[in-house]
Amino acid sequence: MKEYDILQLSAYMDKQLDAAATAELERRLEQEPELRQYLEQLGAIEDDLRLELDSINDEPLPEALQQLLAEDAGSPAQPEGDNVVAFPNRRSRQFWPAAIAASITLGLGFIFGMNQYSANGPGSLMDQVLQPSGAFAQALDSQASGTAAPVGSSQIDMELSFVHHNGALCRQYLVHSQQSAIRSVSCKTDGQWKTVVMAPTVYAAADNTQYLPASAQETPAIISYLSEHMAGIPLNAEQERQQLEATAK
Amino acid sequence: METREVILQELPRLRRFAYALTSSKADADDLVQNTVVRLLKAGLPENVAPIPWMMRVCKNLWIDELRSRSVRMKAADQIERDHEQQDDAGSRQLQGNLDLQRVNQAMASLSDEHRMTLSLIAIEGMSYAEAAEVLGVPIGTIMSRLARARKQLHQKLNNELLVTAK
Repeated sequence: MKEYDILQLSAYMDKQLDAAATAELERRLEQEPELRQYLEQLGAIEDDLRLELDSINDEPLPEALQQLLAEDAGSPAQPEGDNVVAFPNRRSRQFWPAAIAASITLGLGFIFGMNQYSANGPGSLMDQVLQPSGAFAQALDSQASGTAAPVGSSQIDMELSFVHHNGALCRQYLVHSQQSAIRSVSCKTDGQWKTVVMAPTVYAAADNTQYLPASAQETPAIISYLSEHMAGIPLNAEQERQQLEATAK
Repeated sequence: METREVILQELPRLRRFAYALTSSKADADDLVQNTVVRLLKAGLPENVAPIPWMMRVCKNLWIDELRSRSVRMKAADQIERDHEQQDDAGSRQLQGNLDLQRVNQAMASLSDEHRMTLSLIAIEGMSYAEAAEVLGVPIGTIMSRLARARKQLHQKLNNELLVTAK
């Protein structure tokens, strides 16, 4: 393959050719099978490379890094002023929940620090999410999506369930305490719930009179995780009930 | 947005970039650790795009690390040691996924400059201008390095496929 052709193909892959050069190259790609094959091979190599490099994010974060970021936790978010607008209820069963904040996607068995926490302090809320057990795990085992359950001083709102590509049952939920909240996904493997992704967010209760922008409740990392790891679509009520019964055995 | 929030948000991307630079998951996480320390200490500068800034800090730290090593290992030896380390650590292996292992080895065989350039553009989706800013080179250099990196990857992997087919 000529050096010039490789330069052209490379720039074409990155959409860096001008309109005329693009048109000319596309004409050649239609007429020259070898050129077209080379381009396809370059694309396939980068697809594989992306898969391999992405695999590092399936590994747990090293403990030292977890502690480093946890130690540097910032101060809790302060509420807005008195000029507030009532915020609409969240839909009880939504596929793409709405709250924004810094977020992180972690491999199985991770720990991570959060930059927002409730007035009750970060430890209890985070501990529940990081290591689901006791009443928290029971809620994951039995609470239907679209319903809520108290867990200690917090509340867990079950949002949806899905099957991971690896076959595990996973559940997305919102744990909140006063105005601080964590949206998470936990998956059940070997009989234990393990949290695989979590994102701090803000919680808007039905009777909340504090103004919160719509963007404040989005959690892009959760959306991204589901897009990448969910097999098919979220489970309906009957499918979820069957999966919960099966994993409880 | 605070520095820590930016780091939290972009940590998966930073890990992926570090893996591209180091070709070793263990080295990548060490590099990320050092990068995060540096980022938290420095704080996010005003009027600076955060992602190129983070990548630049990471890249510079990796270059420092390479320079400080007493012996520059060959890419093949590095991959062999990395696989041993990964086996020892019990990390998830791409068992049976020889294509991905070959691609990783081929990537490791590129020069540091080519590997960084390819990673920023093809994997991290940066523009040529952003990558030029991170690497401190002209856009024309970015274009030629990219083409060369892609050609070398293709040569290495295509030759291996031909050998396998025989």
